[in-house]
Amino acid sequence: MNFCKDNDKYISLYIDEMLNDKSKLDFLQHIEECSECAVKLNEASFFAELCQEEQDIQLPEDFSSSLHRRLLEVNVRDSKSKFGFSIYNKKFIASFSTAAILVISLLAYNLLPQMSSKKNETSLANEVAQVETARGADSFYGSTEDKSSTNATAAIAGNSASTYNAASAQSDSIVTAEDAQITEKFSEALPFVSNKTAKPSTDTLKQDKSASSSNKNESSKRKLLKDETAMFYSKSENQADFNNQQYFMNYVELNLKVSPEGIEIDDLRKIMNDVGAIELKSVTINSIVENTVVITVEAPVEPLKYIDYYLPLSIYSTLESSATKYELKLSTRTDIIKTDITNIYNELNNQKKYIYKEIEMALIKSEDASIFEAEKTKLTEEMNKIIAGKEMVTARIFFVDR
Amino acid sequence: MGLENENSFLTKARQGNVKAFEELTSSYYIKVYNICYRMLNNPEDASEQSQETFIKAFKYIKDFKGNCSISTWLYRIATNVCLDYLRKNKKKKTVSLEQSSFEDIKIKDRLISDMPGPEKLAETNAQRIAVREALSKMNEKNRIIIVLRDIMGLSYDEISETLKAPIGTVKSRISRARSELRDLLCEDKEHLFTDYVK
Repeated sequence: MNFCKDNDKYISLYIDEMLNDKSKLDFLQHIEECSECAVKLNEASFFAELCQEEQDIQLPEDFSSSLHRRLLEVNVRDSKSKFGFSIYNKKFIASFSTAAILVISLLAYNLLPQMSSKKNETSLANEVAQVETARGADSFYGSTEDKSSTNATAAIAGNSASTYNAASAQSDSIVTAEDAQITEKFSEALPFVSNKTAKPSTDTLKQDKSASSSNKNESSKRKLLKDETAMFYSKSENQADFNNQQYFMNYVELNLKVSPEGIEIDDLRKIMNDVGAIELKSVTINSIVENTVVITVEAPVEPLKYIDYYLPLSIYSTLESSATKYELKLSTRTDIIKTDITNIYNELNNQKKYIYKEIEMALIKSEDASIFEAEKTKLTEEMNKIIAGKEMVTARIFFVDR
Repeated sequence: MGLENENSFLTKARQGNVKAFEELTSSYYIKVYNICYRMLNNPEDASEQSQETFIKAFKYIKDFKGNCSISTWLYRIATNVCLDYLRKNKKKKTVSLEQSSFEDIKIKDRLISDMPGPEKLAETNAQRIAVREALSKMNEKNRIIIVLRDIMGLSYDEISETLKAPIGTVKSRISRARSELRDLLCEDKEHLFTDYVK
């Protein structure tokens, strides 16, 4: 062992009695022989002893109380921050994120159909107007003598559109005349809905109003009901938002080549009768003949321009092949036009709610509710037809010369 | 304090009980304060940093696994607090050791009482002041070794635990620290130690 070279190390270990017996003996022997190391040992021992003699410095007087106060402060702060910490807890963040995603998804789920419904509400009138205008522009009205009829149809469509716009703006100024236009639009866009049942409450109220013109109280009561009806019409747009179900009307136009004898028309009626299609109305060049749910039509004086049929979509798809059997040349004029009539359904539904309310009021007042009951039945039937109408199509078959 | 009591206080302190924490650590106030005082050479800083030591200990007592004694754990925190403080305040001028401390007053009292003889006491006082001055000039890592080993009297094992260093490292650091202290004292204050040195 080279004690001189590592004298600091051995001196320190010697002072602290960390050397084993043999090393200690060797070191002490070296110290006796080496004066330089002996001096170093002497110095180191003295300074170590001097340090060890250092007495503890007393604590400041207020040390304990000051520390106690600070510890309490820290404790209170930690307790308060426990909740704050939980915000940053990973589990909490994960749970919160999941909940947020679920809420957003639910909102989006509820919001999208509403947006769709609203969009449909605003576009429905325009779509109907476009369909009606297209019809008006078709050649079946062709000649100038039919212009008045075309303009009338366009006016109906335009008025319907304005009525819908007014309704969407929740205007209270909807009047009976506009209601009547809605009725006309119903019958035009939805052939199976009759004019009388499309707006039964209004019609009934009209009748009541005329019948009880001598009774002012009754008249004012009806007027109030009429106003309320109008109010319900305006509200119907909002209520439709809650109805996610959508209803459509299908419409298609076809051409049938007919000979001057018109035997093809008879064959068509036979085919349609066989498949169970309902003939709605037939139109001559100068007039419109309505046959609601009646198949047979009196032989027209004027040549027929077209006939409307109401039939299931599944049967429509087989119509051309059926026509071929009778050697009829039936061809499609348009694709199936799908029109959203959810608003019409919702309006009927709102009317129904209103009728329910009236029935309830009549029962409370022990009045006759039979009028309202009849209206309710009609409304229910029409709504059922709309529901069933999803799978139905209105086919307008134009007769063209061979 | 019995081991059972210590465990009880430790459990309560971990739950945030200040009183239990104080019961557990109050006996080490003076030791921790002395470590800070020797390291920082300033009673105010020593008081502040030793309190900081106990506050940190209170905050992190949940992390105290009991692998070492409470005292060693506290000394380790105090050492780190002081070294951090010195590192952050390197440019801060250290306060003179000549200012009055409690011990100085005691020594002065002893000087007045003339118990061992005033000249001898004055010399001893001067030597101690010289040691403190030398300590203040020492490398911080060597200084903490002298404080822990020669002033506090911690064993090699305790120093090893406190500094989280192997025993071999502790041995070499002690010899290096003592060597630096000796050099500083012999260079500047040799006249004070004529009876002992050379």
